[in-house]
Amino acid sequence: MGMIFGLQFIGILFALVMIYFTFLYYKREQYDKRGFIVWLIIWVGFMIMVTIPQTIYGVMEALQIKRTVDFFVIGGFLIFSVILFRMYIITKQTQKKVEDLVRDVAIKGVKIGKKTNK
Amino acid sequence: MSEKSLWVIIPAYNEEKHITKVIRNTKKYCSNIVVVDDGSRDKTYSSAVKGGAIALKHVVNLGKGAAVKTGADYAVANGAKTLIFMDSDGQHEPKEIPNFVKALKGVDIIYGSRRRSKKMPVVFRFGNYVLNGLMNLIYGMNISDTQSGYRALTSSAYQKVRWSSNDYRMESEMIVNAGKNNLKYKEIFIRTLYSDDYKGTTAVDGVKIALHILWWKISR
Repeated sequence: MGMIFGLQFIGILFALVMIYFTFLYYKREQYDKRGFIVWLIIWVGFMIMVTIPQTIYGVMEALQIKRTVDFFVIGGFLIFSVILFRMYIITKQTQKKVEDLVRDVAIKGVKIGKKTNK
Repeated sequence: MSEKSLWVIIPAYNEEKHITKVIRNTKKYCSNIVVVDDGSRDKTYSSAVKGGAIALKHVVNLGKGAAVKTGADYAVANGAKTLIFMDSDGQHEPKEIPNFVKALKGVDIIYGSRRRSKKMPVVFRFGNYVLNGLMNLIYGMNISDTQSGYRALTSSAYQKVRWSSNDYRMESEMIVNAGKNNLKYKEIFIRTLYSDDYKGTTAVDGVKIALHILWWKISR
């Protein structure tokens, strides 16, 4: 169970970039403090796992995963799937809200033309 | 039937060229004309108001299914007992309205079916052939044009067939819902005038409709 240094470097760089964006979007008030803390924990945790892979060896052994890279690929795929599903639900909910809103605005803003020339 | 209870619903998207004429011709047969401008970028909405229709505007484009639903909801809330759905590009002739009203006696829905004509663009003809076959095969119906938008129905039937599709799937979903609720239907043949080969359903829409016809059978 080892990890290639190059991959560790990319992983750390990726986590740092994501921490920067997490901070940036928090400052732009794209999400609240809770969202900021959750994402920060995720990226810092990711950075720790990449830097010191020994922290996840116990989990890898329990799951019978031999290589650290495999752990990240499998874990990444699972997280990606969950996020994708969540985004699908949010998109559907937003679509429904927009539809209801547009319909409501249309009905409230009705304009009745002059009924002539029947 | 009281003329006041008859409402025509016309969904429109970028139809400033045709909408005034469509309204003018429809007025000869019905005074309650609801035009739902589905987020047009042109002057469809103001043309509809000037033409004397009851005009509703979607601030963003939602699709034909959503526009017809908005118009029908409005009409039913304002006392409509009979609804007629008609396209805004002039392909449906308003002079057919009395035929729809007459045929609706004793049934819940009238499907206006286009006669097979060489004037219909080839892609439409092929798509229609496949979708009609699929719909009739899966649901055991006998409708010769499942994709025509020219239809009439009672307000109580509308409550039962009210669809969730926002796009061109609405026509098929409406038939599926009508079948599920055992609504009585009839078919009348209509004449259609084609003015634009590029508007309306695309091949992708056709595939989506076909997949949904199968999906509705499994899921409902």
